[in-house]
Amino acid sequence: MSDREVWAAVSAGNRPPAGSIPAGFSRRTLLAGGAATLGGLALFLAGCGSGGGATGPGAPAAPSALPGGTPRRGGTFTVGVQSAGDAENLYPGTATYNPDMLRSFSLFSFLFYPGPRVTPLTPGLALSADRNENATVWTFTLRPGVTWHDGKPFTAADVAYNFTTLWADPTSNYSAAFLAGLVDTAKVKVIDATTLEVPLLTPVAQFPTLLTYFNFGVVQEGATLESIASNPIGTGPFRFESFTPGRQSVFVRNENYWEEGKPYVDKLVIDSSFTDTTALTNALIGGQINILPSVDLIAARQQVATRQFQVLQSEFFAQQAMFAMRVDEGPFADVRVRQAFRLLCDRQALIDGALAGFGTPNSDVLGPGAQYYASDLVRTPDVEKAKSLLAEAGAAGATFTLQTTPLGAAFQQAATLFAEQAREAGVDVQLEVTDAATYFTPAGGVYEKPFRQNLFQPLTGLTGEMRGFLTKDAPYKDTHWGEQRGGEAALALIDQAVAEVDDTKAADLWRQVQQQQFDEGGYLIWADMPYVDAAANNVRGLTATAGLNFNNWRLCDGWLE
Amino acid sequence: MSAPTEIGPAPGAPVAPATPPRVRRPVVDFLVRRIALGVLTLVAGSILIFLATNALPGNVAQVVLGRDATPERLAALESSLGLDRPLVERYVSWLVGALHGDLGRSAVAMAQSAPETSVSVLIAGPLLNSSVLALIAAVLLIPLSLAVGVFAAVRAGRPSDHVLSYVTLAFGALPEFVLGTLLIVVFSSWLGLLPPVSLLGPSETPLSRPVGLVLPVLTLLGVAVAFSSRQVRAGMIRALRSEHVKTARLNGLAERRIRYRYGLRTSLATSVQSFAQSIQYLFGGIIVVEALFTYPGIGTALINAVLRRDVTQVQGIALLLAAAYIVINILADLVVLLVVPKLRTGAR
Repeated sequence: MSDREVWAAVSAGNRPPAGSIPAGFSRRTLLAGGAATLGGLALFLAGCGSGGGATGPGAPAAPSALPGGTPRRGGTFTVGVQSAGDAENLYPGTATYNPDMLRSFSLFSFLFYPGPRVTPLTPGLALSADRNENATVWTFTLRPGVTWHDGKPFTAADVAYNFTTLWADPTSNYSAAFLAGLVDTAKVKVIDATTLEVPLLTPVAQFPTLLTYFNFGVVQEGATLESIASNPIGTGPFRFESFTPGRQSVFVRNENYWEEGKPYVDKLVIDSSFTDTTALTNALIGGQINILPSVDLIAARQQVATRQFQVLQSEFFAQQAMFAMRVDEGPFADVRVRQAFRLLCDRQALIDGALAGFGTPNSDVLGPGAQYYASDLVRTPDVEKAKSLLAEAGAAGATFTLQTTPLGAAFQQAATLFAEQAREAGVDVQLEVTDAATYFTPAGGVYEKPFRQNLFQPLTGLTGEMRGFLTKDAPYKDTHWGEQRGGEAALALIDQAVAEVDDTKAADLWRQVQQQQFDEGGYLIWADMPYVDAAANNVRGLTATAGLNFNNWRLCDGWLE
Repeated sequence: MSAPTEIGPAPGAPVAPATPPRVRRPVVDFLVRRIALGVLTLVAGSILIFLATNALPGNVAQVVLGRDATPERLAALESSLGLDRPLVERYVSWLVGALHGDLGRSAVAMAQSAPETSVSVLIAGPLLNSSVLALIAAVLLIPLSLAVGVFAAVRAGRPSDHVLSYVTLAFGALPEFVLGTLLIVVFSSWLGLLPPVSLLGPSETPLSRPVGLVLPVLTLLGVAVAFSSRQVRAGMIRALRSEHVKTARLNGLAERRIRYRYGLRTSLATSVQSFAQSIQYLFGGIIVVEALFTYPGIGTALINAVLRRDVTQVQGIALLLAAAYIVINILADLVVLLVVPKLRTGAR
């Protein structure tokens, strides 16, 4: 039938002839059908996401060690980590992101390492450190029989070089501030091949604890940033083979490693091309990687039921997640406001909501596991007291801005939950989101904005915690402690504690310092977190402790079944 | 003596119709004009890229040094990276270098004293990887879209056409990361047939591990084929309903010949335009797909460069992508010009 004939029929009021007009598929059907599809799809994907595992508190914690047995030599560990792009480098002094830290610990060694419960420290290249009467001269006894990857013997001269040149220079070591003003570099003395004398300009009773920080890997005498960028020579369990920043590094076993028989695997491949945490988890399940440090916490909870990979959790919780309030100026300069916020925070709820239950509440005290840590100071939430304190301070109806960033569960998720808690208590907290790349830079207002967040690994000693966060020239001065009125006395107290060598007196001084922080400090430390790592089902021998992922990155302990 | 007779056309001979002046060499003219315009567009684009990159909060020195940036260190690093020079001077020197194939030096690599700092060298590998991915997707896109589009057009109005219409609408509406995640769930988690990530070592080429290409290509194709096949179908239906097709049918020509010679061939111009659009759309899709599958291409490189505020690398990659976009545009229009004689002859 021609179009004209069809039209004639229709306009005459008759039904259009059968088959001349497509039937049944009106626009309405299409839109309804499309919506139904997308709705179904959404439900389907949500179902896939929750995957049937136990979630929330009460689910069993993961073990802290993988199954053991007789180690087998051979095979390759392929580690998946989030990319840091071209910023990745091999020099321990300029390591800032996770792939760098893993590479530093694989190629190089440290004088001391954090112990399984932070203290006492584990010996590394140094077997012990002895001090004189007043802790102004430290003598290090070094491990004998250690060789560098190029065959040269490791001696005290190498360590002296690190102290006097690389660790003292802020342009070649990002953590030089920890040792700044402490070491008398001109008088560092090599006594013999395994003994080094390090005089200090001011007494520091816990000096060795400062040397566990991840930027203090020991490099060979004469090494420079350029030489390490092209040919890194270390004493670590793995030797350098190749490195493409932002993509991958390949290391091979160091046959002359100072721990007999280790590492067991032939090769260590660190793949840092990932930009997505879901892709990392998928790659572990799919077998493209077999080691995944700092696994996504929700995936870790779910695998309890699905058993697609193994999860490790350190028994001792030493990473600290905190909110930081400036004590010198801004809305939190009044101590009552700070106390109020610390009282209204329901820490367990934050842990359950943001960390999938992986953590334990902290009471705003820095340094769990450190010597003289005041574990008896306990914060009990009290919303009514918080409200009355705010009213007293005249801040009852004020708006507070919390600056956060999408850097993982301990940041934006926790900030969102905390803002909700505050709102329920009648306190107005607004979130200001800054992107992850600039959050910890001056452009992102680091150390400027009055209310921010942080997540920190254990600094192994209260001295380190103070020198990191609270002393006058501390590099991570979130709270500007010491700059408030009367702050000089507080700083003087810290200096006293750092220098005190008598055990009883030191215990008392450190107690005073921590009590002051507990009463008046600017940190709201809401959780102590464990290290949670994952490995494929055929990996054995690895452990998780308080000292960084996989027990100070000791992949040399592991093997493949 | 008679008046001179004008020499006119012989009686009965055909009279040449009056036509407008013909363009002598239409293809060359077109190319010259479009390439000149393309260069101007690229220059304008480069200015925008440069301004946008340098407007990002935080400069590369701050980001690289991170929490450990002291004012002295920042100043020293900024000076060695040339960040203290005026904006116009930096732009001009960059552009001049780019015209010679030198895309500058990666700011982050320089700050890290890395052995290789030239942007051109750093992105050569990822560029190759992305090109392989894009090329495979583009090459498969055309026959697949044509097949699906023609199939649907020929069965227009029948149930199979409706089903196909519905399916292509759903696929075309899905963002790449949704489709990609769905494919990972089905082919990786459930069936265990394909890897969920496409990791490649720095010295490996994508073709050395082809199984890692399957899911990324399927994801890219899913959306692009859905869109293009609908265009092919619409164009072909329109062509099949035209008068000259009816005439051909009435004259008894075989249906198959009518479909391809008259239906498809006539609608090719719009189809080519839609293919070009889809291929250009692939560029945006590639960034998401590469991140989802951890495919080491130019998209991942761009993401990392932006996160680290590596201005020279961001500029270099963005400029390359813009140039590719423009080239594809020109090529698509050239193909249309060749396929549609009317455009060349200027006939009405």
